[in-house]
Amino acid sequence: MRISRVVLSAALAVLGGWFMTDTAYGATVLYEGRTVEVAHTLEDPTDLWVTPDDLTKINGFVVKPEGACLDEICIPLTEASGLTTERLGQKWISVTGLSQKLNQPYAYDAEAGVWSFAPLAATHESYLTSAEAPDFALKDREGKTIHLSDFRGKKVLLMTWASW
Amino acid sequence: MVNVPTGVWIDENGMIVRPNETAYSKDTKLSLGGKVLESRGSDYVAALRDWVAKGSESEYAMSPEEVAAKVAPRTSDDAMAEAHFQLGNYFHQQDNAAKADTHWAKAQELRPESWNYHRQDWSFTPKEAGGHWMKKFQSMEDDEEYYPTLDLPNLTEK
Repeated sequence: MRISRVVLSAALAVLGGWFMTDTAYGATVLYEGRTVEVAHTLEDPTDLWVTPDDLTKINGFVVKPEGACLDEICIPLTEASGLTTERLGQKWISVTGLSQKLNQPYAYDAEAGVWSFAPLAATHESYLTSAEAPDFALKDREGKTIHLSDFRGKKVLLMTWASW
Repeated sequence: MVNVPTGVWIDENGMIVRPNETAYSKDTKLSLGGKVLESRGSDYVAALRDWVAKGSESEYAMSPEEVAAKVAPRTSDDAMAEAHFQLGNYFHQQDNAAKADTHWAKAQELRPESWNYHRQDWSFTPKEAGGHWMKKFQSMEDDEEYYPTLDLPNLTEK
């Protein structure tokens, strides 16, 4: 359980502020059905700043010379983009800034430090234009993981139902 | 999704040939407060059997373009509603009912037509769920369909 921000701030004040207060806060990120716990973020009430490694863990984007990239999408991380900053000898990427560039809505609870990102439009729209069924995994009644793609070569009737 | 049961048809190549739709196996008709709930399950089963037998030659199997046309693009409000819905689910799992309710309410505000978001919320007050459902059902306009009419050529003309 994450220490509340009030308690942590008080503790840091007592310690004389020698600790890296800029990165004292973590965050919980909800992304594509996953919950990613981020240990260190920059202190910012409205934007989520993470390290390049954590960016990849969250949304799969990899920081390359040409920018933050995922498959064929690359968003430049120039100084003018406002998407990157250097702090305490570390590069930080704005996940929320990146989402805004990608027209990806997000919601957050500042008090709890929880961020929730809507599905990336580019990925979602590719399914709409190709009619390709997105793969997914579920556990069967024996606990075995089953993928939709396991049924390639067969017709599939995918049903939702209830026993009542 | 409005209600269960629903079905999606996916062919041998992993392509959707019929997107999500009401999928009863028999005909049903229910009158509720002056409104009628009706489903054509026998037609759905007949169409399904036709696809199983004929594959892509079945007139009930849609092309990728037809499938795409059936799936409405997600608006910005739709996407934001999903983000809030997931926050609600997270806080519910954390036993924070107040925050869960706040975000679920926001999802419902952004997508009032989505039965999914309402149902998720109602599921936590099962005794009141039926009343909530009836209220929303009764608020539908006369020309609104609870179960959208199945797009089944020829069968529709019977």
